[in-house]
Amino acid sequence: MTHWFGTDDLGRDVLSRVIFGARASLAAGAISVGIALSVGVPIGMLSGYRGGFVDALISRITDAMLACPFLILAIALAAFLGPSLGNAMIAIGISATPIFVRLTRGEVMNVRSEDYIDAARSVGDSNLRIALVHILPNIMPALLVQATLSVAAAIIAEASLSFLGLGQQPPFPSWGSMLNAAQRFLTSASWMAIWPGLAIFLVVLSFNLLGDGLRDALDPQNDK
Amino acid sequence: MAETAMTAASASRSLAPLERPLQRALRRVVKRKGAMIGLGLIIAFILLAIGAPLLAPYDPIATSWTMVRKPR
Repeated sequence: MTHWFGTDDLGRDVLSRVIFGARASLAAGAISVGIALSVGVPIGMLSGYRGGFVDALISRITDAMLACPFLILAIALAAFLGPSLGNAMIAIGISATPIFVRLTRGEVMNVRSEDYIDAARSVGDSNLRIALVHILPNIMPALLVQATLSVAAAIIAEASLSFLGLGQQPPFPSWGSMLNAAQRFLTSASWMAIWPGLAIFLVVLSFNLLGDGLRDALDPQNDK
Repeated sequence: MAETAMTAASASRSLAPLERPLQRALRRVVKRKGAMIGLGLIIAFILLAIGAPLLAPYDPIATSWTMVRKPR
């Protein structure tokens, strides 16, 4: 009987829980950013491409959502939807959506005035074709960088929600809920907090490193 | 000697725009040490999550009253 990372207050193996907790955290990161992308990008493209009243309306709603801090909005939504990992993912996804709406809108407005868009229009391409074939590939780098950095934020948000009891429900493991259980035993059983904390730290650091690297690599103004 | 260097330089200059944007992005991101360390760790954690039932030494939700808060 060797428990490499020790055991918790109910005698469960911490290493096994950290390993299984990776599922909850990574799934929450990927799925919530997937929700934010699939909702935010089409709305942002519509807003940036159409302009006028539609743009004004979408932009004001986006501004209103961005006025609430990301984590507060996610906690409020998760509390409203009810505590479960799926609802936490939806709540985090909705909270991250306005960032993608605004980013997409700005990028589309930049690209829209390029000569090749005029060229596409002059040969009779439909609006849908211009948006999907000519604009979308050109705004991809910015979206990719933002998505990578958002995964890191979403993983922290999932851990926060689970810490508060709004994410993964016991007895199923999640790094956030493990930290919550560990806080009562910090002085007597600190290993209970160290390992899930280290796991969150490493994953979030990795996504931020990758996001920063992608941003530098995809920046057309940066020559290195 | 100088001539070959010059033709090589002009050849690379004329070839550079032919590189596809995706290839250019990949080549540039692979050079960044931090990004590659991050990517490696992310892949490791994804493999850990996928292989959790095989890798975890114990059932993560099985409790044991003789093992409460025992280090190692």
